[in-house]
Amino acid sequence: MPIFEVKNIKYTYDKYENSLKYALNDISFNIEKKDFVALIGKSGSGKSTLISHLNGLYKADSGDILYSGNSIYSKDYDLNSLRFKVGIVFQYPDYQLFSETVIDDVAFGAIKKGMSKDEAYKKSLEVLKFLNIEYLKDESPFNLSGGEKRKVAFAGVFVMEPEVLIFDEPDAGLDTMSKINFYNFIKSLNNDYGTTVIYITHNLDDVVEYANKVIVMSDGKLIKMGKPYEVLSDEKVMKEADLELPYSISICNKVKSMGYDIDNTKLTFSDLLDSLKKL
Amino acid sequence: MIRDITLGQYYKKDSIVHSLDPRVKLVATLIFLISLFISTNIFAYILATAYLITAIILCKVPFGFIIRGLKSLLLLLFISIAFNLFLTPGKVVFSFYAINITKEGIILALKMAIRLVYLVIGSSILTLTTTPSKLTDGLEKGLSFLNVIKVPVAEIALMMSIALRFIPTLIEEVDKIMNAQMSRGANFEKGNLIEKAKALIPLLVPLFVSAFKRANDLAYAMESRCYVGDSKRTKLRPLKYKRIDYITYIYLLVFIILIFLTRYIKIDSTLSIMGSFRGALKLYYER
Amino acid sequence: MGNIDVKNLIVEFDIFNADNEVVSKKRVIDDISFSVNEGDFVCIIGKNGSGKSTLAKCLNGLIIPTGGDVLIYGMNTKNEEQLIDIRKNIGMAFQNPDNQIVASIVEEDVAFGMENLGFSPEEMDKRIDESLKILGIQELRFAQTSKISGGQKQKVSLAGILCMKSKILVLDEPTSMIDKNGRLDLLNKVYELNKKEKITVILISHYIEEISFADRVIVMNQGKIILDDTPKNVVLKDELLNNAGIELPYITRMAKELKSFGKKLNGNEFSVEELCQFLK
Repeated sequence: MPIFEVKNIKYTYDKYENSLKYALNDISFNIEKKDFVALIGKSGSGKSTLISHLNGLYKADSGDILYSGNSIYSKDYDLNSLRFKVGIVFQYPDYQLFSETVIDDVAFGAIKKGMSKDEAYKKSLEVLKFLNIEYLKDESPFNLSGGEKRKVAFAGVFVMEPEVLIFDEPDAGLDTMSKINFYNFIKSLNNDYGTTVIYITHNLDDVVEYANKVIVMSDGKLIKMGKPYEVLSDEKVMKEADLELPYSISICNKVKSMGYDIDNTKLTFSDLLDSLKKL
Repeated sequence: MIRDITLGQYYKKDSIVHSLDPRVKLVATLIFLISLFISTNIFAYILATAYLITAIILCKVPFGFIIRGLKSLLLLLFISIAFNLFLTPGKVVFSFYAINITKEGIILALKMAIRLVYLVIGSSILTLTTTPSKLTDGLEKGLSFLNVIKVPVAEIALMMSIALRFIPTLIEEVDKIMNAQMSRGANFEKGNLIEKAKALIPLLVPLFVSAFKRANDLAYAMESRCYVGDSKRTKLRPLKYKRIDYITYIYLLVFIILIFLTRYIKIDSTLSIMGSFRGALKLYYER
Repeated sequence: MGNIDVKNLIVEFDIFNADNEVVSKKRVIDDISFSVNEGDFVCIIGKNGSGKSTLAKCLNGLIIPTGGDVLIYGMNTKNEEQLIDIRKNIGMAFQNPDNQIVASIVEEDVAFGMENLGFSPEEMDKRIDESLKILGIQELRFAQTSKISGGQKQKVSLAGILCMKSKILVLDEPTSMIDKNGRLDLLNKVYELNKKEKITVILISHYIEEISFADRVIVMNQGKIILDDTPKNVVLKDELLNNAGIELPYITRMAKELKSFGKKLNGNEFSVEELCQFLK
């Protein structure tokens, strides 16, 4: 059974005007447990709106979303508990940090989830240790560097032990080293603990590296979903979504245009390197 | 969602009222408000009504849109009518149990109601036909005489226009912060008043922190674009009076004179003039 | 003497305790010197906290040096009477496109700098027209600033700078909050300004990919300049870059691997075309 079944959802921001401009227009897809899904598309294509539907922050005008087989729109569904299972880490950590100390901030979600204060703080400390930022626990979250803030914000969501982790542009504004560290960490969560990951990104070369599925959105519609190489090498789709090709695809295209043969299903850095070495 | 709120209720339309200089509209609104409060008798109210109807027709904004602002005022209106109606002493015309309704009470309540409704409609027309930035321009220019007594009018106007510019940004930000906190299980709707107030902390702290950061960044950006507080700045679109603006000023002058004149019309004397006129007519016919 | 002369620049920030007393000083920029000539395109890179943004703010006198001097066309930023003249010559665009827009309508925002300098409405009108045209955003002239994209907002602030006929453009991580398409688009425009309008450009960035636009790269780490060379030479020093927490661009990394494998490459290629040369 898929963990998410999204069925024909539609959503519009201006409900009071009769313009039928849909932010989400008839979107359907399934996400399986342990998937690592990259959500790509130009800004304004509806990616952020879509993820806000997945934990019930926004309610679709029509259509249905099933989480582990249950419709989150059915009357007796506990939306609040869904938010603890589906954790969203938004782009700007500054929008969620508010407490006096880091540990207070991290514990917020755990307390809201219903843990006792002692339990919540114990759990928060564990999470900080797990993320190697235990030394920050008594700092004020406002005095941290950008990278540290991101980690604390992530800890604040992670403490709720979500089954699905959703990230809105986790790599924006990060320097390359921090980015690589971040993705490796998430990948290991995905591998070792089976956490389902969905993330919005503009960096298509990283998509090839980490994701096992890609969803392309354009103008409120889902225009393609599939394995990274299937999606990214589909010229028609990339053109429709108005996306820059990742370097790996450009290299493959160039190599082919020079009359050589190259396997364009293997697009990770090391696979591509191996293919190039053989030429 | 909070996104749905529209601020600055400018209604785009091509009309004479829209094209007027904001200073003229500010003065017109001010004169109208003053006229409401110096009106003592029925003639003044008739004049004010005529003035308002002219404005409503000329501004081409649908009437339903104009009176939308009244909705939020209904409670206040109701209370003020009730107070005036029940608590004014005078000649009792109607009474049940301990409540006496007097003639003076009815008149006073009616006056208050008309004043409030007209006040709201009048100022709605101003904001519906003038963009916020035009409005601040108008205020800046119109109040520039305050510079003499060292009121930094230009700086205040710039502050206002920057505040207006940041309203959409901040609304979006509130939305984002609420989403982030709700994703961590925060609930902004549940609970009693104290719980609700407490629930706002996770919203307000990030909002203030961000606002301070924005202010800091903006200060740098303004400085690097050569902004110096006390300089003589020029304007891209300086306000300039057109023919229609002068004509409107003349109308306004006539209106305010008429309103003042109504103060000298005594209802009793009018009646007696009319009475003697009737007497004269009667005499004429009898003859 | 160049356009910009930075001599032994030192910047220290005070660290306060809870009682608002200065307890220590943090050295953010540690004795750096360089000069930039007219028409150069210089990219300053470094990871977060390397001091690059502070350096940018020193260039137009937003931050006054603790030690050393910053001279713009010979004018010292420490000299307060000359600050306006310095800022007229050196335009600055910042990281967060939202926080540098002053007005609700695009043309009013573009005019802000000129209004401060007391231009006539006719002159402003003309210059707004010109600068929006150069950036290819004429159609946005009467748009609301809250309704345009981040990339467009950055272009609007560039237009505001162009209007003032600044000869130097300092861009403080202008692309870090806009998406990839917008980023390339913006940098291509900046490149054009540099080549066609002969505007000196100082681009501060943490995206190493962006150095390929520049003629010269300055790499900063912990408040010091560790490299100052052409892009092609800088990427050859991968050990130094690694120490500064900077990873090489994708293509360059690929080229380097292939070179060490024995392919005919220099290991400092930036574009797909250059990389595929080894197949010829």
